[in-house]
Amino acid sequence: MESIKIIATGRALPKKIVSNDALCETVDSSDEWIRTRTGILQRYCCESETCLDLAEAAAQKALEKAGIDRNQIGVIVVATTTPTYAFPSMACMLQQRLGAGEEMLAFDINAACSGFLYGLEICKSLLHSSKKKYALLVGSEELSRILDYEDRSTCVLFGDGAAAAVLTLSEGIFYHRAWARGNDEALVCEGVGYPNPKLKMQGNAVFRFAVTVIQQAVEQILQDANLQMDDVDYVICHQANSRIIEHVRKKYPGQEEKFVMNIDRYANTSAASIPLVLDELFENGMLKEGMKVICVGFGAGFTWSSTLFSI
Amino acid sequence: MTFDKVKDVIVETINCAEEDVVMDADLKEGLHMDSLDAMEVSMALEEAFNLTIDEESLMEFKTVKDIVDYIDAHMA
Repeated sequence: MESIKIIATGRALPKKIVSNDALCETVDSSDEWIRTRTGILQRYCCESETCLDLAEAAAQKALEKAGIDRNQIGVIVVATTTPTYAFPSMACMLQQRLGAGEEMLAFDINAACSGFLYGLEICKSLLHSSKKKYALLVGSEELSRILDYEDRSTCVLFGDGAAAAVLTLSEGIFYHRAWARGNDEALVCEGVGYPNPKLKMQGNAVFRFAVTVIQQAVEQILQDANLQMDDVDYVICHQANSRIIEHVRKKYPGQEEKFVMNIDRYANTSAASIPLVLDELFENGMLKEGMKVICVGFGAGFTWSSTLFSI
Repeated sequence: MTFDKVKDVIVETINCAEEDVVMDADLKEGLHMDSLDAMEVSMALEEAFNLTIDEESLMEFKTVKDIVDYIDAHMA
């Protein structure tokens, strides 16, 4: 079947690492509280860098590894909830900064933490009708800009970062599902032009939503592919909270190790979290040709999505 | 008996000692449950008893007895 192949990935993080202890110098919380309740040990936070800078740096790394002709990029999609500008889009700015050709579709998408997986399906569809061979998909976030540091239960959860993937069409396995359910109470941030937009979250409601839909999304995509969890090598869930992932992986006894986690080092980086895991797995040689991976995204919207593909 | 089933769900969900789950055990102080534990226990109870526990009630549970009473009242 027609699939999308990840040719190369890259990631970029701000220079500044903020440990739980450092964060708790100004936030009324503790390393112990954050660690045991979220699995987070540290996060990266932008100082001089912008979301666009991170996206560019991640994309440059992915493109250097891929070694492709940049004029053959027909699609640039940036998944982000914290674009540097309302306009121009980050994707258009990447066209310029990366020195890609001008004939392309370049735009940003906002599907929150499901953005990278929404983006995979969008890139696959667009490449199908593109004159060019490659798509560049980037998840990039500067969430530190919209955090309310008075809200100690929420501000400790998020971090900044970006990761990118160079994609092309190829033969292989690719199943994709996406869902949307409008809800502007559980997880919301006002938009451009409002005086001081801040991320607001009802943790319990999001937890309930997340653990319910992740399992449904995993089961649905396995059913679509006519596969069992035994057939899958890794499950990469959006890294929102280690306890969400732990809750879900308990449902798959003996296969818990397939559920990858790196939230301890990055916290929740929204649209960047899934490609950050992918990039680390590629870098560590843990993703090999033919392996099957399930990715599950879930977040504000609500949006959620699952993808099963072969490497 | 409702208590026995509630106890099984709590032990399995938050991995605590069986003997700690008694009727007057305080969920927060005695069983060290935080809000996400409470949510996980609540979801497991909903599955076990085939009912819905509304979030307001969940926030009001202080002891194991509160949970048992709620379930008995809503199962009737």
